[in-house]
Amino acid sequence: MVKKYIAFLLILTLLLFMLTGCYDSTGIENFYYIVALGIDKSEKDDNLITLHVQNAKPSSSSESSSAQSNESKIYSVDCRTIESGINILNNYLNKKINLSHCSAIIFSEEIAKEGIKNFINTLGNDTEVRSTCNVMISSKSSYDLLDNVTNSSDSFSSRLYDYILNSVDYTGYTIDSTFNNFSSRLNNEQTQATAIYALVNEDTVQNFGAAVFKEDSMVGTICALETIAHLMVTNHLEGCMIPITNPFDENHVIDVNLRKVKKPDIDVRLENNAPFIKIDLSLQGSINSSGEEFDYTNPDNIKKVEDTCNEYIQELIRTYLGKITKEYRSDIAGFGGMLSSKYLTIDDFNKIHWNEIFENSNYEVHVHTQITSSQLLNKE
Amino acid sequence: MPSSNYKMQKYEAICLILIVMVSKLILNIPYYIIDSVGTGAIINMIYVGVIGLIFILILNYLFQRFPNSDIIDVSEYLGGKVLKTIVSIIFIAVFLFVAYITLSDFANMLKIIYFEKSPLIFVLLFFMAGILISNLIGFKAIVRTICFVVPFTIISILLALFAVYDDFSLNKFTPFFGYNFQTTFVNGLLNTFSLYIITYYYFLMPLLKDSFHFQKITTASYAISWVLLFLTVISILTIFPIENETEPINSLYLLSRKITLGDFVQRLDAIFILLWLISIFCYLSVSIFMVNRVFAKLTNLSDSKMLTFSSTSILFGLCLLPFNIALGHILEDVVYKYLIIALVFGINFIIMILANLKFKFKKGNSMIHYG
Repeated sequence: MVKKYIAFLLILTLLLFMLTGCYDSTGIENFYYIVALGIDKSEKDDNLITLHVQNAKPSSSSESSSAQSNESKIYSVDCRTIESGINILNNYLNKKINLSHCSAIIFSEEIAKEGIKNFINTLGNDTEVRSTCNVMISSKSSYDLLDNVTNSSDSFSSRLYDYILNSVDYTGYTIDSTFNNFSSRLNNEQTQATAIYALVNEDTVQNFGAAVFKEDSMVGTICALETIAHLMVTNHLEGCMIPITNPFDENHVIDVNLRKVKKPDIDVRLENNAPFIKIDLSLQGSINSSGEEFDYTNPDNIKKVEDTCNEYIQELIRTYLGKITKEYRSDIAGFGGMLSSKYLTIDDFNKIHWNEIFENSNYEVHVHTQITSSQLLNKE
Repeated sequence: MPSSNYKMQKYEAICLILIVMVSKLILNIPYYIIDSVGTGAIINMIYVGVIGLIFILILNYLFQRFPNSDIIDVSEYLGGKVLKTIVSIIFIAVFLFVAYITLSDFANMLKIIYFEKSPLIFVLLFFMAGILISNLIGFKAIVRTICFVVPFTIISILLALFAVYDDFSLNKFTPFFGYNFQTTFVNGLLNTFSLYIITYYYFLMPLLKDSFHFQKITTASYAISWVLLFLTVISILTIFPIENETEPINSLYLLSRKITLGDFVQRLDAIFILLWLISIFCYLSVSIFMVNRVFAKLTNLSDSKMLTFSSTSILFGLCLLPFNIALGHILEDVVYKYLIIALVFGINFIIMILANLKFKFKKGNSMIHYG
């Protein structure tokens, strides 16, 4: 009996190798791995888009590591859809474009303002696109952004976009907009989508706040500081540094490093058919530098810095709320979802027409900052 | 003991039921639940879960007078050979139908994700070979494999839940009563179709080593299955907004694509697919085993092993029928739904009640033993 099983297993093992046909085998040499995909409106025809793909060329130098490269190449094509563009490029490159290492999908601001749901759905339907791939909006064309990244002095690699976008963890000047989150929020009526907004200058690229969407179209941007407010309200703040006016000398600023202590306490309710948003934030901070003589051991000094910090952040959040409610009318913070928890059914919630009344929102913001450290110095 | 007459231990029986539930989770059943009741899915799942539990307790009571019997034996007791034949044919058809939609759906998903260039028939043939071999080796092999696979598959589903931890927010489940009370509690009653595992309870008793454990096995397996279903619904509700117009072909697969362990381990979906593939293999093997068993009972065959060739061929033939998205959707979301409800909560339950009444009012009865 045991012999039978052994023979059976042997046959199976042999079959395993014999059945792996090579007629349709594909290896990495058959694929053209791209690190970023750019989509612009075509300059030639309004009905066309221009698709750019960027890849990292493997370095020929034996000294460089395999994952790094100093070179990259951008190919562009005018097409009607993303898939048709990729097909044209497949034909041109004689290799199949593979999106599994694509770490950024970049739309120009112009095309984002017209709506990008179709593009996102097309890419979402592609098994190669990673859910962690980032969605970015370029202030100029996506080609400009790709080109500037290529020409930057940093060594180019497939991880370059990841490094650029990781700054959200320590600056708070931009947001984390992975493909998965972006596509899911693009269709969500209760929370509108946001994406990283990249400011393209002559030869530099800077992550500058966030692009604000309403439904599937971009309606505006929030600046870097407002993005900090956005991260605070949505409980996504990892850490940030803000310069506040020195309460003892208005000509100087104090750099304060802030972190969240706990989840923000947000209450959304309806008052006279207008949303009333009450936000309570608790933050913890450390003073990095006062820029002049300062005694950190004096409790009164610390109290004054805390109060100044509270006022500064309260004002920042009010500006942010004013922008998203009155100017853009786009609920990117998900206040609608918070209010919906007070209703028993979706039908009841729909009766208040949240998207229409959101612009009438009133708000009250309280910030409690606790300065706990002055880094390495007790006195400056 | 011949392998086909193998009797299951408690743990093995629970795993067998769990593999049936897992196969339903892997397909789009949790998404259809959410689609029908929206954010009311949590309340609806609790509601459906309680109904299912009450049903199972009643079923346990009804089976007390028929130890070592399955629904085929009970229907023979109730309505003679005619009813036995009708019920057997219905069950053969249902087992084959559910196996067919499971296999078609999963094979199509595999083809889309990994075997874009290969003809579907190749993918199907690998499944067929697996089902055939497992059933020829015997029920014992199937059960032991299931016991090995189930813990890993459950871990994979739990990992999918952890994957959405960052996105988890109570606001995503509100308003708690969904679209309205009618969709959650009246239309939502149709979501009992997700409790397909109950179909297997009707056949479990004779397969147990000790039928006195039937009650414990059904209750425990039902509770674990419900928890898995509930967790999957929560995970999917967390990442798919209910207003979303897009409908995924497989929501659990999309969920698994989100799983990353730091920056280094990404795209774990490949491992998940492998686990789910083995689970589907196990489930299909059990389905074909059930088809063979019912057919053998119907025709009084002593050994059902050789029936595997014909039942697998029928399944293969069904899967070769032209399949398109619209047909698949109708089969899964409409036909499957009503069929399971009619079968589990309708026909079988009525047979069990009537058989109990017959037992009660027929004088000089002692417990009925079959098997």
